[in-house]
Amino acid sequence: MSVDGVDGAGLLAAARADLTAGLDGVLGDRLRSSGGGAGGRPRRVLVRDIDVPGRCPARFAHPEDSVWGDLTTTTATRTLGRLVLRRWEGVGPPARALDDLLARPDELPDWLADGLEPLDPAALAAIRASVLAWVADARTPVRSRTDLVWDGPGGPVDVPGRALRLTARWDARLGPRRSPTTLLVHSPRAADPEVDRLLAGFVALVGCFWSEAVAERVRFSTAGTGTTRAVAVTADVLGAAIERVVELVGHAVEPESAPALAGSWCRWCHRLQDCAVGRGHLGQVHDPPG
Amino acid sequence: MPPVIDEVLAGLDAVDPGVTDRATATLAELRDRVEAQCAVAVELLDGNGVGSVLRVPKGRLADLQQCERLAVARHDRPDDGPPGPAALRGVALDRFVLLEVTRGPIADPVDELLSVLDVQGELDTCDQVVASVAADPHVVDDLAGAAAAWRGVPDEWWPRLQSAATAQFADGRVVCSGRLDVELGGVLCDLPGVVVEVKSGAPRASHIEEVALYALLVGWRDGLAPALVARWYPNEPVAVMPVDAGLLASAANRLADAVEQWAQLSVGRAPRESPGSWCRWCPDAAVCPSVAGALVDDAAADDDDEVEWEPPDDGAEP
Repeated sequence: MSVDGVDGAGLLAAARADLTAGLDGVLGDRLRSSGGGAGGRPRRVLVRDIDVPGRCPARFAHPEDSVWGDLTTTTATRTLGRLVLRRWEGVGPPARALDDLLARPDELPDWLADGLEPLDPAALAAIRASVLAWVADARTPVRSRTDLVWDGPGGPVDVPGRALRLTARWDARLGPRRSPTTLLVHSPRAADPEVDRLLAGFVALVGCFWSEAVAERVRFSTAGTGTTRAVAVTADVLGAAIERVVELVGHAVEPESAPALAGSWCRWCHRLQDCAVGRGHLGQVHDPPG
Repeated sequence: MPPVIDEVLAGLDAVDPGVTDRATATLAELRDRVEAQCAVAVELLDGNGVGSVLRVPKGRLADLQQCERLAVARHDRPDDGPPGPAALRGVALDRFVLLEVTRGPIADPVDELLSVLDVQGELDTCDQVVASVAADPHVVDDLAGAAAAWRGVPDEWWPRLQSAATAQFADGRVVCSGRLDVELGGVLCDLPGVVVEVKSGAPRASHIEEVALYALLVGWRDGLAPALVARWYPNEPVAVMPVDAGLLASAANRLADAVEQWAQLSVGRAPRESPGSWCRWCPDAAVCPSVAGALVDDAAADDDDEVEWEPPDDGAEP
């Protein structure tokens, strides 16, 4: 098993070393997870897969306070869908596998079981409908494969020695959990060769922390398309992702220097009221009266 | 009215499987044709320094066929707020169908509608429902009653609500997407595929074009054309239509035309004005010189016509 003639385990070691060196270069002693320093433990920087495509650095550097809201179809569907696909044997409708799962809350992650528990039957019906649509959509492009294991990462990963947490999501893998050959990501994101490459590197990088070798490829499927596209994980692909992580961490530790970049995301940005670039983009900049 | 599933099954009985097979056989060629048009569109965008993704979702395609100015205005000023009264009935009907298909009889329409919208994160729409119910406590009862026709869809048909069908062209630079109200059968369950569009308003010719587009998108997604597309209006017989090669070809032609139109508008061509009943919900109605006559001419139009509400979902530059 090799990637670009490099052994997967070697690629993994190199990726970890490159990440550490890159972080050292931009951070010095900042974000040392062991260091108390004058301000006590450093604030942990979180880099998620959705942060990786080149959107607004200022928005990333000033994250919205996370509020743990009630469970919704948006937050429940993907995890439940994966669990259904893991339980379902591919014969007959998956509704029964879903009903079995919902009847056994002790087999669900705590956050999901706790979120489902207070829902009334109508709300549960909405969750059920959303999950069954997701299951069909995720299964369609890989329906000929019987060797996929539908599970995602075990959780976020903490980069050793730094107050830095990485999270990426994938939905299925080929190969053993400790050495998967392919990671499959099913999401609504449209195809984009550059973003695919960057995200593949990031997903593989996060996967490194759960495995003993780098996955050979990351495969993306866009919701509703019925197709997948693969990116081979090479040293270059990993390197680009590591560079991006280091760049984002740089923005996080010097948030006032992070530039605003306008785009479609401005419309829903939590900083819109304070962001001239975003308001200008949306045509909401008005000259002050008088 | 008979159960919807019975009418769908009767419709399927009348479909010649050879027609579906021949429709499926055209999918690749139709895709190549649209792909070629998308390549031209991307060249136009790139030549004018427009790097964004060109999105032609179902709603935009429908707008473009009605009036280019309407399409541009709705893109520039998307509905950020909750749906209006007519669109709210459409939202409610979709949820009642969901409840009947997934769970069974609806006991308390308003409570259950609010519960579904709440868990779907549609909080503004919940407020809208509460306001409507305050004015008329039975405002959605008729829709909940009509949705009972959806009861009893067997699990074997793997009913899917609000499933996605999306086509990407030119390496993702052009995207056409739709969300299907109800899908039955299809490639995952060895039963013929059926797509049903749920409509709360009066039947219109453009609804036929919508379901034809869905047939095309599902065909491309699954590599297999659905056997049947249908439209369901409350308290009306199901309007079924077998999917044949001609239906798919017409949908592909409309899509290719819309891609060309939207690309030209995206690089600055002035939109053409084509007044009609749609002027009533056009954001430019107050300033468009073509609108006045259209509204007078169309004064007798059905006030209950459904204006479909879609959350804003794209950032393509017009």
